[in-house]
Amino acid sequence: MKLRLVALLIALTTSGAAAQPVVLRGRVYTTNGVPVAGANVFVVGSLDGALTDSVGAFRFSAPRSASLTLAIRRLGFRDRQIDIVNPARELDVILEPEASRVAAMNVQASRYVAGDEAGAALTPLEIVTIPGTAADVNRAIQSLPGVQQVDEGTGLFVRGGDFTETRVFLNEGLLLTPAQIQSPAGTFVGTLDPFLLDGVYFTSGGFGARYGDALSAIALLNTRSRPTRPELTVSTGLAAIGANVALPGPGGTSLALVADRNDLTPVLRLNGSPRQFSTPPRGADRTMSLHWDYRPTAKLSLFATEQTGRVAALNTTPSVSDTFATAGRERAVVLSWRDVVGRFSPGIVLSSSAIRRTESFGSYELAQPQRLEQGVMTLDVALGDRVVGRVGGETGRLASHIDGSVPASGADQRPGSRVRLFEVDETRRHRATFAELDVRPTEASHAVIGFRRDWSASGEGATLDPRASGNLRVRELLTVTGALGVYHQTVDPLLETLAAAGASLPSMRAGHAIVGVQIGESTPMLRVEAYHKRYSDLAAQSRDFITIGGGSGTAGGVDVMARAPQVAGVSTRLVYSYVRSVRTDPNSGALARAPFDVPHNITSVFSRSFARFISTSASFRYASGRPYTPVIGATRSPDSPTWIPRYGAPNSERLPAFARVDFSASWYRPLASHGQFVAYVAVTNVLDRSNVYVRQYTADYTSAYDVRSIFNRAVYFGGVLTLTGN
Amino acid sequence: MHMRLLVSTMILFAAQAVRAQSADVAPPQAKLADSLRLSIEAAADASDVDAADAAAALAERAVALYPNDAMLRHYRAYALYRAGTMVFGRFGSGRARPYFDKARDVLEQLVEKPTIPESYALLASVYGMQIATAKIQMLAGMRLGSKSNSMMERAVTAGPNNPRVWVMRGIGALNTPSTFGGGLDKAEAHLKHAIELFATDKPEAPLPAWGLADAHVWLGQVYARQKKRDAARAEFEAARDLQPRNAWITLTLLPSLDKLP
Repeated sequence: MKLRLVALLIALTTSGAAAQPVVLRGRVYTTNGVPVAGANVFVVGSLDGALTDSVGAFRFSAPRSASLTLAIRRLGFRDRQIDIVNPARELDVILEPEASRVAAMNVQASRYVAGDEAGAALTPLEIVTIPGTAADVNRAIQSLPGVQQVDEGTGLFVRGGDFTETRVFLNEGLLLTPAQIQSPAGTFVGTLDPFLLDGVYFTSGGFGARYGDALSAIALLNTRSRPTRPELTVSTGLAAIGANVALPGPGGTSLALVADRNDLTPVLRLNGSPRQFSTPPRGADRTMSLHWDYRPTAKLSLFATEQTGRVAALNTTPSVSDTFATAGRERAVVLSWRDVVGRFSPGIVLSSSAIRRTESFGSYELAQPQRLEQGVMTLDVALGDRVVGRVGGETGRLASHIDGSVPASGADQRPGSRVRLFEVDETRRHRATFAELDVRPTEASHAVIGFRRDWSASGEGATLDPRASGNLRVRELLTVTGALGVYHQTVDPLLETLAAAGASLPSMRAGHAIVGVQIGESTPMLRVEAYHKRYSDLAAQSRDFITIGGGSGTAGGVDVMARAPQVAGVSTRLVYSYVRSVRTDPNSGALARAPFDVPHNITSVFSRSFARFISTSASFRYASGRPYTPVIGATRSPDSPTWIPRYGAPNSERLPAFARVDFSASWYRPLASHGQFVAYVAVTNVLDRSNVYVRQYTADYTSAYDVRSIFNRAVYFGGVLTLTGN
Repeated sequence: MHMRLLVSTMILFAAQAVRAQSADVAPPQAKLADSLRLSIEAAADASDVDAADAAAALAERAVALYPNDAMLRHYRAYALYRAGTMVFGRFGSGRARPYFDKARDVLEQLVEKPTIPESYALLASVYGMQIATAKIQMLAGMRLGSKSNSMMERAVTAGPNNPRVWVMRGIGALNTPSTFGGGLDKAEAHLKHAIELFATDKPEAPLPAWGLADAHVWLGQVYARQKKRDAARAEFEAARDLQPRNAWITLTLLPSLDKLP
């Protein structure tokens, strides 16, 4: 009887405990420490659960049980299950991004994506938060594999090629990529505000037949698609102020306007500079974007941008002291249309890109306006569930002008008082056709085979470029890639005018062969690619400003990119590129190191978040010194007071290696459900290292001196406020 | 005698147990499916994204509890589709895309075996939304366009008199050019046919029962595009009467008619 009573008491106690609910609470984060809102957290085998709130927190009660297993699920992330040992303890749950099967097949030879896609090499957030990139798209692309850190500028020197061999497309329209400022510290080319962009596709070689007139690489910039809610962004920093308004309109229309002004004067005042600027670098951008998505599959957009900039600095050398000044205005307008009509997808892109740059060295002035107009038509046809055919054609016109002038008398700078020393006008027409077959034989394989034929008014006849690339997912997280193709690029029309009389300058040619492997997707991930390029008909300018054609060369190397899992909350991205590039030296005719042969390049980025709303990043960059041709002696000219240098073996010496450490930190504050505020501070060149970019000589060539970085250690700060309507 | 009584009593108890079991086992899933149906429709009526997300989450838990129940799987996909379309309208394609990807995964497994016509039609519509939200719409359109068409044909074959199938067919036709089997006239015909079918549509719980308001909303949009302002207003008002809390109808669609020439 007594035993029965005890058993009954135990049973009652146990059932009482089982009936008493337990409160489960905690937070859900991504691997980067960002709160995950809307995650479904529930007890397995029941309907008890809750969705996480805007800061990733959850709290719900469930019947107490001897064993509780919690499931945590969110679209786009891997499912997780956790056995609850101590229900009273607050849980911190980390969700990893889901490995998408589509993303795996987006891995293509030498192609890197910066955007929202799964498996992207860079996210838009990373573009603006990589320390030292100053939120510049080109500088962010420079942190991708295959891009050499040749100088401090924004030019894209890819796999042993010159920056002029990389083409930039905006919404599929080709942009001019001349140097906006060719300073001793680097080649600066026009780039776009990353906040205007939805995605960046950078291909360091092996690209498809749709893109021509590029010997090395292409960067495709896609502007943001139609906003669905009104949005206002105001940004201000030590040297810039800007505003961005995006307004959705009726019937699938929208309008976005962006205006920015920048002036480095406060930055130079705060941080100092080894240079003396009479006009510190300053500029302004104005951009307008119109969209009309007149039905779900159709997109019609007009994008127009204008950028202006100027700088003037004292150029002091041991032999001479004068002022170097440059001013530029760049405009681009791209009208693009694309629709899907059943099995057909036609598209048209009309683009106009113009740049006007003037440079003055003392009293000498050089003006170089250029204008490129291009039209491209494509038609994609679904030939089956897994086969898409693409045909298209393009036509273009490039008008280039260059003139140099000096004042007619003394320093008279009045309009009309200058004497033109030379003037060249060149207009070149160009047309091309291309065809491609995009085949996905299985879910795990993808191949693109095509050809491209280009006709140019200059050069000799038409060129034919066969191209093929493919990828195969061997295992769940293992993809092998490969590409093979021929690429042509016409010689710059202004360089053509400087060719020796009677010299023929056909289009320059490069053959690309690439093999690669990628293990994993977002994190951890390892990607390795090896490539070989063979050049012919290269044209380059000699020291005497004569364009020499018929050059040859090779480039070969390995690119490695790795993303490591978090260690102590720190995410790591590492990029290493090795290249060996030789080309015919236009002065001696001998094969020598290419001027942009920078064998070792390392970029590593470390990021860590603190207290959910603070994120910090540090980057380290290292590059071998670029090659240069030393002067080994000089003789006095018999009929003038100048000295004639005697050069050593072409590009036989190297400048000291480049190294730099940068740091940035940002504080994020959500503003209810209608906005956010981000404050940031950046310290560039933390170690205050003075890198060398050019080695020059005194007038009599008896001693050499180095041209060094414009900036030492520098601090920059600012904030971005974003308000979103309903 | 005692033995007979014992057997009779056992059979009686067993029958009661079976009845109890069928009342306890089948109904919980059916009740769950029905409550899911009601919560999804409530979210759709009020065009409330948070409520649709909550319904999708509840459906996910329900499918985790009863993984083989076809109706629960259908409602999970339907909740994702409804939430996805609302997220698309409010936040754009990037955030909406995962909803349709997941809905497609669920439905493609579901239609491997014969199922209700709404599941086929829903999958056809999900393919359409995947095209609309794709990063590269032309590729998605070419790959998924034909799949969407053939899945809709399968839905019509399975449920020729199912009004929800005709609603989704009408919406699809509205977004397809006339040269490829769509167009305003086809959309109008399909949606009118759907409204006729709703007159005799008496689905038993937990079968889907939504769609009449949607038919009026989309027919109104067809009329608006045809510049038939009064006809469009009548359809939007009919939809508003059915879903008075739907902000899309009251704040967007009806006021948009004032701008018609």
